[in-house]
Amino acid sequence: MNESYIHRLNVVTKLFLFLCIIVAVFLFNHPLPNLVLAVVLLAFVLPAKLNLKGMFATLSGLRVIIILIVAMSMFTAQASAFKNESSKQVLFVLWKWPATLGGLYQGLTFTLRIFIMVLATCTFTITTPIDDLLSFLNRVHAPYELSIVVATAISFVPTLMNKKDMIFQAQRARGAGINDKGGIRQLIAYIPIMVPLVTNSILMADNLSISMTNRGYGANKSWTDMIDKHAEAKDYIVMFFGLVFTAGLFVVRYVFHVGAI
Amino acid sequence: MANNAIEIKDLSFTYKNSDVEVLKDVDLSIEEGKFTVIMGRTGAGKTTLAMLPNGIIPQLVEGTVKGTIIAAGKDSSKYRVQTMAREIGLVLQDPETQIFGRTVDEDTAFGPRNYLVPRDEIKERIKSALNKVRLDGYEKRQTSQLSGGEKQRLAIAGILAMDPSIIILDEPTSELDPIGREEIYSTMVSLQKDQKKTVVAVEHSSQEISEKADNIVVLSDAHVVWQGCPNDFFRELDLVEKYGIKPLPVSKVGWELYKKGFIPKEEIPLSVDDAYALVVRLLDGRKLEFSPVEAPKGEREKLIEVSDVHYKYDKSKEALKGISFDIYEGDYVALIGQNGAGKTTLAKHFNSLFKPTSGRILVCGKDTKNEEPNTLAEQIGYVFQNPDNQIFSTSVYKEMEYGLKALKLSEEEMSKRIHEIARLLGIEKVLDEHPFSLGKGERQRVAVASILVLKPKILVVDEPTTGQDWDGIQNMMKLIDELHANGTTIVMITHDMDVVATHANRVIVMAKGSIVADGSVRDVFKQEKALKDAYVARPQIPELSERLGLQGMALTAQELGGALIASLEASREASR
Repeated sequence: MNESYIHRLNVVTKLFLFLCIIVAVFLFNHPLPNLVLAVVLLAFVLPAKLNLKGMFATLSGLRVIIILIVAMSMFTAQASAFKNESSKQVLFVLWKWPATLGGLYQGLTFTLRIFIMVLATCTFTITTPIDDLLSFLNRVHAPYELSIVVATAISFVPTLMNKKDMIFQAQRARGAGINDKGGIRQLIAYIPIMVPLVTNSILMADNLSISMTNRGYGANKSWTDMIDKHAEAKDYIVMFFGLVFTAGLFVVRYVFHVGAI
Repeated sequence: MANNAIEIKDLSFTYKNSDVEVLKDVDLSIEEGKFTVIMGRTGAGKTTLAMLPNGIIPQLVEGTVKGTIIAAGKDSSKYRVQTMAREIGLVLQDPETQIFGRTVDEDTAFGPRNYLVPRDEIKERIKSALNKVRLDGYEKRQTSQLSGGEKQRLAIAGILAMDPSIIILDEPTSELDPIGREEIYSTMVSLQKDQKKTVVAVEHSSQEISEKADNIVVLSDAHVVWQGCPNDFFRELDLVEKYGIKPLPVSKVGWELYKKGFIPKEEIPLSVDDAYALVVRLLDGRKLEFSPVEAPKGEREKLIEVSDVHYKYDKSKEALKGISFDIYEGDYVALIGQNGAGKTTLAKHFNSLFKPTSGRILVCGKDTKNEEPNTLAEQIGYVFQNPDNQIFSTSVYKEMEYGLKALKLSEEEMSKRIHEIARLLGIEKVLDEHPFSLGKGERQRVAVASILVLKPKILVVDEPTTGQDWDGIQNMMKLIDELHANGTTIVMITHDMDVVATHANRVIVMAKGSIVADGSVRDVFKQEKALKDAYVARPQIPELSERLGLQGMALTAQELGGALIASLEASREASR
């Protein structure tokens, strides 16, 4: 199997890195460092062979919402909260509402944060077998109900995608024109797909939890570990670099005062 | 006295928020080490009965239970599902929601891991469980890449790995082709015979059961109405019909002979072998004449032209390897072949859901390359297997209206068409109802209706009878026959060879992405080698007809029974 180095990392390492990314993302308000973060992250996860095309397609479907976010923050950001004088600069005034440069920055940062979180989450879910995650939850003595929720949610994704394809085809065969252009009309065109998808998912979620219990999930407070997945040297090295990198970001932010709006 | 694996006393069950008793005063003992089959109409309470012994009902699916269930020596109301499940393995209906692992071995390990079975033992159990369902070598395969049949087998392996003493299977073969079914049944028989397990299966199909099961339990309207030896049951044809179970085709011939007084009831044959021996004995050296008249076809319009179509899902896997044939107006085509042979892939090309990688398809003269499913909707309608994937409106009327709106018809014209089709399908009374409040059979009709309002010249139906009980199969086939009689050209994908024999007028057999036989039903059922290559088993009546060496092949029990009785009566007349 062609597994990337990310696949081979221990689940603890991956969760740690995930935490680092969350911290890093909320460290900077300015879009520029966040853009750098996004590019660096993208470069690191490329070997995991994510379906980037699909991801961008999903994100571009959200473009109306993204534009709304940017616009909202442009007009509503509190100029007094900006640390840099330049951010208080007013770009233009719409009716009585001034659009500030800082607000624009803030909106772009929100967008980049969404992108980075989506990217990190996708990488994590795609490279981590459900079993690894469950055995991690097990090791930290999480209640097994939580594990059921996690496992159900994750294993659901491919099943749901299949279902979506089937429904999509069935609808198209009935003349559903999903290719209609235009925001609202496109949304309306999706309703036929969403109704059976939601009805089906509720039924499937129910069945999934039944069949997990049916196979003895929760019979004991733990379960047999199939592989000895202890953190290896490479995990410690990666974690160390993650820590150093995050610490470095703190220095950049608070010692050199970079990245504030 | 034999021990009972499952002992049910005075059992009644009502689902939460319902006041209909789905099971009523059920007393049932299932003998240890036997293979028992539960049969009955959809809604007779079979699945409920299957989910009770290990406590899924009422612990996870709530309701009110009266009476007691002792399974594997334990009162199922006193233990958790997880405790009961160790002894009583239940294979649920939908394999899709029973698979959690990323790979086949991960998934198979899921059960035993929960019971803290040591790692090395789990590895052995995976190996042996996969071997029993013939999935050896699949260990590292991604579960999401498996076919429907493979998933169904994996779901069984997942339960076998838990090593329960009782195995209950709820319609384990519903999505399988005849060969796949045969494999699952051999697995069940070997579990029961060699491993001394108690096997209980809920089933619709009759043929395997009559040969393999020890006991049969028939449910009807929440009651157990019959239990005992399957062969005794299948000879009582009036009961078989009454309880909505599919009769064995040869038994129908036998039933006619019994009613005319040629044989006693005990001699009604259930297998082709028995039928052959019986008919030879009755004919007493005389030859049976049967020469069917095939209606002349004449000059007909070409509706679909397929020329040298190849299709690849990805670079490595070629799903269709150079397919060429034509479909004419008035054809009633049965597209048959093993799971994964490419039937659905091919059919999805007809309305442009898939486009050929190379080659060309013309539908009513239009090249599908330049068309989309919605632009072909008036030429070709496609009914998918699962009606629930295509229903989304809040009423049946709106559901049917959806496709029509794209045609930009007047309100009047739309209403006229909707009522016309609703009348044809017998769903006129439910036009204002919410589709999901209807039963499965009616929902399927709604799905068909929403396609038919577009008045397509060609109708493609994907496995219209799968998962349906005998009433459902008959209703659906009657409907398709009517549509065909009214001039619609039919392309039907099916695994049910009895349906092929009694309804279609042309058969196309596919194997591994190619067509291996194409012709009239009689022609194709004569081609033993092609059928074997495609792993298609000849249905009982044509098989019997071939063995008897009839000149023309008899396809239905009526044809064969009619010819036989005519011959017997003639000789009885002559000997007087």
